[in-house]
Amino acid sequence: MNKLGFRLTAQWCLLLWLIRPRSSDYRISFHFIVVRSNFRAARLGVRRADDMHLTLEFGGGLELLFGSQKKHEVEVTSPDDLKEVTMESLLSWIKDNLIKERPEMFVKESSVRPGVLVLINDSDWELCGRLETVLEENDEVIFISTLHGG
Amino acid sequence: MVRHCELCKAKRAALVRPRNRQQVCKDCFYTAFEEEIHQTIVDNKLFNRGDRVAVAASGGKDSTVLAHVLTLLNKRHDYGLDLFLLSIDEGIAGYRDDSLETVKRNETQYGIPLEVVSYKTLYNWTMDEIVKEIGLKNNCTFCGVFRRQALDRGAAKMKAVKMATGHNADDVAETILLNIVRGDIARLARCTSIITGEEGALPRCKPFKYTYEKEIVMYAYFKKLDYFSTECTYSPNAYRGFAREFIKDLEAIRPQAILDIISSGERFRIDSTAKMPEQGLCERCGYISSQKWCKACVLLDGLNRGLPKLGITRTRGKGLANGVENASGGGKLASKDDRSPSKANIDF
Repeated sequence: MNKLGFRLTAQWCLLLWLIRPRSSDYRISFHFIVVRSNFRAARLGVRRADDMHLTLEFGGGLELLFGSQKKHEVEVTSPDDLKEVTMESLLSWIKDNLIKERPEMFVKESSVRPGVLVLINDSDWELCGRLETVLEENDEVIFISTLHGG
Repeated sequence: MVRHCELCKAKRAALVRPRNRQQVCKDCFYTAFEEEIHQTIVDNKLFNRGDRVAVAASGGKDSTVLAHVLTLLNKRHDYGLDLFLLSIDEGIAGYRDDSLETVKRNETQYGIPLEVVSYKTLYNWTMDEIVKEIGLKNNCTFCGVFRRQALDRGAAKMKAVKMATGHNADDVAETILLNIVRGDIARLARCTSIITGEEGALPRCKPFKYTYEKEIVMYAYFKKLDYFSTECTYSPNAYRGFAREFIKDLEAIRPQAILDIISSGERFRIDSTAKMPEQGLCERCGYISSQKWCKACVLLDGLNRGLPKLGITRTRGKGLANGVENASGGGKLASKDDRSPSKANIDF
C-alpha cells in the first residue's frame, strides 16, 4: 500500500473510531466499514482498474481441474478496462487463464455449472447478487462442487 | 451491505437455505440442519433405543456428514444407539484406498468403530480385476450390485439391526426421475420410502431424505469436516449423470423443486393391475432376489466362467434363467422351505 492509501486509511480509521457506535451489536458492521474503506483507499492510491489480488479456492473435486491445487493467489485484470471486477468477469477470467482441463465441468454458459457452490468471503454468493457481485481487493472466493460422489 | 440472519437477527448471514430461501448465519444453520434431521428421525421412527446401527461410510461428503450428525444427535438426544462405521473396499487403486484413509480418520474423530468388508474376501475379485476382464463398459453394474450385497453382509456379520445411508434429497429426486424414465414401476414404488427392506433381515434408512445436498456440502465446509471428493477412476454412470444435471438445473431456477419431486413420488399409487416382480430368495446364496439367482450370483458366475457379459444384457426371463440353470452351482443352496415371498428390497 502506498503513502496516500495509508494516510487515507489512517484518517478514516481515526474518524470512524471517534464516531464509533457504543453498542456491541454494531461491532460487525463497524469492522466492515473500516475494511471496505481500507480497500477503497488502496485502490484509489495505487491501482486504476488494473490488477486486483484475489484468493481463489477450489474444493469438492474441482481442484482436479486446476492441477490438483486447491488455493490460488491471483492477480485478475478486469476486462475492457472496466473499473470493476464482477463475479461474471472473474469466471470468464478463470476460464481463459486458470483452468487446466474440462472447463465444462466448471462453467456453463456465463455462470458456474449448477451444483457448484460459490462462497465470497465465506458467505454464500446467493446473498450478494451472484454474477453481479462486485469484487474487492483481497476478496476470497471459494468454489465447491457438490457433484462428486458421497 | 451486510445481511443479517433472519433467525437471530444479530449475526452475519452465511447462506441461503434452498428449502425456503431463508438467509441464516452459521450457528442458526447448524441448529436448523441438525434439528431437522432429528425431526426426520423421530417422525419416521427410524431407530429404536438400543439398536445397533451400521453407518454406511464411503469417506465422501454425505456419509461423513451422516456419521458426524448421527453421533452428535445420539449424544444430544440420547437415542441410545450403538453406532459403527461400515465401509466397502471395492479394490480400486488410487480411489478407494485413498477414501478408506478418510474413513479411518473418521473412526477416531467420531469415536465409533470401523468395519471394512472387501470385494476380494467376499467375491474373490477386486474391481480392478473385474475391469481388466470386462472393460470400462458396465463395470458400474458389477460394482453397484456387489456393493449393495457387501454392505448387507458386513452389517449382518457385525450383528447390526439397521443400516443408515447418506442418500440425500437430491439423490432421492434423481432416483425417482430415473425410475420414471425407465418405467421401473417396482422401484418407483419403493424408492421414496425412508426405510426400505423392513421385511428382510436388515432395514435401511435414509436420515438425509429431506436434506439438500447443498446444505450437506455447506455444513461439511463450515464445520471443516474431513471428507474425500475424488471421482471414481472408472467412468461414471452417464445415464444417472443426465438426471443429476437436470435436477441441478431445476434447483438453480427453483430450489423447492427437489422436495416437490420427492413429495410427488411419495404420492404415486401404483395401478393394482400392474404386474410386480415376486421377491424370493436366491437359491445359491440365500440373498433376497426376484429371480432364481440373485444378480450378484449371476454376475459372479459369469466372471468365474469367463462369460462376464452374463447378466448384463437385458435378456429377461428365458435367457437369464437358462444361463443360470446351465451353471454348475458351487455355492450354498438354500432349501426351498426358506423361500418366503417378501416384498421389495433391491434398490440403488
